[in-house]
Amino acid sequence: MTKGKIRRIINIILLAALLLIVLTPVWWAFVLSFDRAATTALPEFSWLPHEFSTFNYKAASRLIDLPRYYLNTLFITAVNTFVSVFFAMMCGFAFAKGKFWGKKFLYVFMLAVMMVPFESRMVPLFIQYRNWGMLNSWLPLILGQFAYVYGIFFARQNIATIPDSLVESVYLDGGGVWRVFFSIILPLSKPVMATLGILQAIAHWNAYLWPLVVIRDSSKQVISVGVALFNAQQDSVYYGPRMAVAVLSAIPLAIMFLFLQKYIVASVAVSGIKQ
Amino acid sequence: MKRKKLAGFLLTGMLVMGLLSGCGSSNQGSDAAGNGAGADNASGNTSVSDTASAEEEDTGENIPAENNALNEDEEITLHLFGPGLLASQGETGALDMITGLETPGYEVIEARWNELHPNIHLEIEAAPWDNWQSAVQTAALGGELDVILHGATLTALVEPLDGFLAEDSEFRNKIYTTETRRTTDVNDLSVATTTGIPYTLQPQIAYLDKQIFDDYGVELPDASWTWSDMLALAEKLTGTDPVTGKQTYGVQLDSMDNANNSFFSYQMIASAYDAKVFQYGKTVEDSTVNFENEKTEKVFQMIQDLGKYTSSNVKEGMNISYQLTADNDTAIRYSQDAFTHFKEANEAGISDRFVFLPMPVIEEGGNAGNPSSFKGCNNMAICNTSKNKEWAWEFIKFMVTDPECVQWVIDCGQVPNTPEGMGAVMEIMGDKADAIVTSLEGMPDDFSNSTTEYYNNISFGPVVTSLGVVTHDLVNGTISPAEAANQMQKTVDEYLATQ
Amino acid sequence: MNKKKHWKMQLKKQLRWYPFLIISVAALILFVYIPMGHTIEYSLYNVSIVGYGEKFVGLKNYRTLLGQSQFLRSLWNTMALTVMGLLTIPLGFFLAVFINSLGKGKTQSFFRIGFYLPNIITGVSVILMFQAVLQGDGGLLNSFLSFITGREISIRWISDVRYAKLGATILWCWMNTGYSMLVNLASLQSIPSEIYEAAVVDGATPWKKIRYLTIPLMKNCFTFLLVTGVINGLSRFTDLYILGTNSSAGLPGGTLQTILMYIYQFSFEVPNFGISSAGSMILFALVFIFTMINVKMTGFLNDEESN
Repeated sequence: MTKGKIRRIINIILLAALLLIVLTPVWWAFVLSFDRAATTALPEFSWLPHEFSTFNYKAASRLIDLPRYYLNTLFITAVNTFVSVFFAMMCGFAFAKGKFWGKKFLYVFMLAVMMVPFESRMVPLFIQYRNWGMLNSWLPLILGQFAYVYGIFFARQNIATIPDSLVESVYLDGGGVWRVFFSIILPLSKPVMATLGILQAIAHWNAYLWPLVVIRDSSKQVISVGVALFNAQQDSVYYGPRMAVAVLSAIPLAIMFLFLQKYIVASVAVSGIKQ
Repeated sequence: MKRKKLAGFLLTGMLVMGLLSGCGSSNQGSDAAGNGAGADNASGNTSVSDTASAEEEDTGENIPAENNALNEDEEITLHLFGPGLLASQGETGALDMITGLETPGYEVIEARWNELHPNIHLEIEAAPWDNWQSAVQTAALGGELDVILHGATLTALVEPLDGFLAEDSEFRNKIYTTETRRTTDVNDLSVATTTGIPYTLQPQIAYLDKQIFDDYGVELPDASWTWSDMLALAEKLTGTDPVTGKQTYGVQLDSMDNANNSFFSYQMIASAYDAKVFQYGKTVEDSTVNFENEKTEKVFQMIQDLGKYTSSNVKEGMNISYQLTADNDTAIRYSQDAFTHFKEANEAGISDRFVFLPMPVIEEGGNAGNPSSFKGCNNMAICNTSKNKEWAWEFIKFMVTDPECVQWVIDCGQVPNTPEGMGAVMEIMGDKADAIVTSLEGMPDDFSNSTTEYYNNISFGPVVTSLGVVTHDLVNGTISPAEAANQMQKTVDEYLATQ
Repeated sequence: MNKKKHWKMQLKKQLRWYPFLIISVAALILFVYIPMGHTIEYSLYNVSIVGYGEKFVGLKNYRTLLGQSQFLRSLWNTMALTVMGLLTIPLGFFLAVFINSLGKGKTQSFFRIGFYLPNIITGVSVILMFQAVLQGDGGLLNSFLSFITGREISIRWISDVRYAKLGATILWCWMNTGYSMLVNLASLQSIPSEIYEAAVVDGATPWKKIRYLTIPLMKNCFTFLLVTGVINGLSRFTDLYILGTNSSAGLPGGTLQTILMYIYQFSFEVPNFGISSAGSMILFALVFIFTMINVKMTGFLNDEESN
């Protein structure tokens, strides 16, 4: 028993040391955001700011319209995350539990494009939206989310593990596929949705190139572009102010993760990757 | 068949949006503008479009717009987009990150313009520097773009300005310089075409730390110094400072922390040695590129030698500061933004410690004796799909020469493109402005415009990134000058094979 | 008659599934397949900036690409970096084993969050911080290594041609091990404890338990991470673009230029959209072939029967 305890303590110490190493850059970035000495050159590494100041945050709030960028990004991220996860669940359900003509073909049809680099179809896609007169609106940011291929794949693997007997019982009660979806599949898939949700939220929160290209009006722009605008000095990197903006833009994601993290682990546990 | 479909697709887009200037090249647009300005624009009749119908369509669209040159009563909105000073200042102003002082935003420009032209509205949208080429290219495709900020290099998208300039000799006399490029997008390669007008100028200036020179007992050079002089000084000034006992470095090559700008040193040394690489014919095929010559290898050798006396930060291309600070450890630095650096040093009360010098002189060729400086700038260009080119031109002239705009540029710590504005800078900088004036006045027109006989970042493939890689490798001693030349030649040859 | 009715019922039974798919399929066609069709089309043309003139050249773009040393180098770089990036799988596995041995509770959840954190905070600025970590002279990693080994270490992790890929892999592992750990951990926790109890009775050492019990049982998990890891690795771009000073050059010496950086370079920096489209198609083909081999070998994407 004591042997086990000692092993456990050694284990914790080792993990804590490793965690310390892993998180040092993050902590340093946080420290720099409060350091007035961090301008165009990085000051020597320190656990606390050399010259404590909130100047960097003042500069950030003075120079970019943070509340507006926050709201825009929050709205787009929320809509996109909801849309992409919901439709991924629908498709995943059909692929996992449905029997219909062309199932295999459609599945491959979807997965085949899992990784067509976005940069390569960006220009044709842009021209398409231009012809539809949708530029400078949020539609180009949202419409593409109705097909979240990785999510479909992930959802299918998970939903496949839900016992068929549960599904059958709804049929026996006279319910249709939609009732199965809403009363069985969705409630049982909360962890899956949480995982996909956070993956999608991170992706949309950090999306840069596409919003930069389709949105011209700065009042509609998103936070990542705002951050880049803030960093717009061509010749120098101002480390402190940069880190301040980075910290500000990462806060919502960190909070979201803290709330969702227990689901995330659970989701992988019930997924198709389990034994 | 496919091609027809594509052309049809493009044509439809054109008809619907009325914005694409068609296939082939953008010369139709220049024709129209040339006629509109009533000028004999040499660039107008050089090439013929492959898609006749597109040209017809395009000309047909442009005629009505041409005839109402500068009608103040008509309500027009001018759309500006791109990176640069306007973007980094923002509408309401910026904070100087070093001094913490406020600098004005472009609302100043808007207010002044509205006062002069109440019916012509300005719509300024800023782009960050990150991925700016993709942002501007797609913005141009999206239409409704009149003025491209920093567009002079994006030659496929911009209107040649020679016609406008010929009309306005008075304007040309008021400014130092224009941005010109050789490119088949607007003309044949043997001709330099004006593609943009700078509203700020940032010539490369050398900053010599008098204190380090004094500590080592080394005499300061004067403006007639050469690159070899710089190398000799750098060698003497690298080591342990005899007075302070701190490590000092001889030289800081500019922009080693930005692979896309690392070519600055190459371009300047090449011009000093007159190491010609590009010989332009009318087309890319007619032109010859020869990096593997004795003079160019000498240039690469100089980069490699200077690299020996740089700090490890410079060698690694990381964490490099351009600020002139009290704990400066580099005897000779050179970079753009001399005015900004002066202001920063002045704020810290150490401006007396630094001597501002023009870059080493050009040793050979027609420009011998002038500084081999490379000039950066913030420029403006007219988008070739703009429907308001006359007004776009009017705005550019306003931005470059209007006294309030010039003052705004100065307030933002930049050097304006007019000798008149330079007067105001001289009042602030005192004799430290001499280096800037000498550099600007000694700089030939088509000199540091990215498509010279020494350097071309437009028509010959990834020359800019390859020079970045090569410069980095030379400074680190991982390749020899001959290998560098060979590598550059290979990059260009392989690119030309794709044409 | 009966047969027909049966058939009709079957049809009805089948038809009810399509509404679940229709919107996503439509979105996929409109926003992925059609633009990709244009990309394929462009790859057959000599076109610099789209909309400014194009000339049909057939397969020339593909031929030049495959004969171009810069492209081949970026292809090699990408593959090497992808394979090295798979290091996240064993790292994540051992991390998960350690964390799992703590037993469920607050401590475990603390480490779970902590190690996953880098995965969330992967913005531009934190990647920028890694320049300072991987710097040769006074970089954090070197300082740490010197402290541990007691010797002066000054490896230039991302500016020395010999080490650059290793440095880039360190960054990759920093960003992605957290995710791998989570997946491994969840997978570990789904192994029924009876299996281990039997092993304890047999007197197996902890290492033997991992080697002969856990690892074979984790096959599905590893395959999943392998597939997604390779796909992510082949499309690596942002972190190296930022690390390489916002340039697609792939310093030092081009050893960190990935295919996507190459494609980006020829899309926007040196606009030659025909070439970059052809590059995209080659990348797509690579990903596709890899995925198909995986499907065939592991039946991973198609395991209809196993469920």
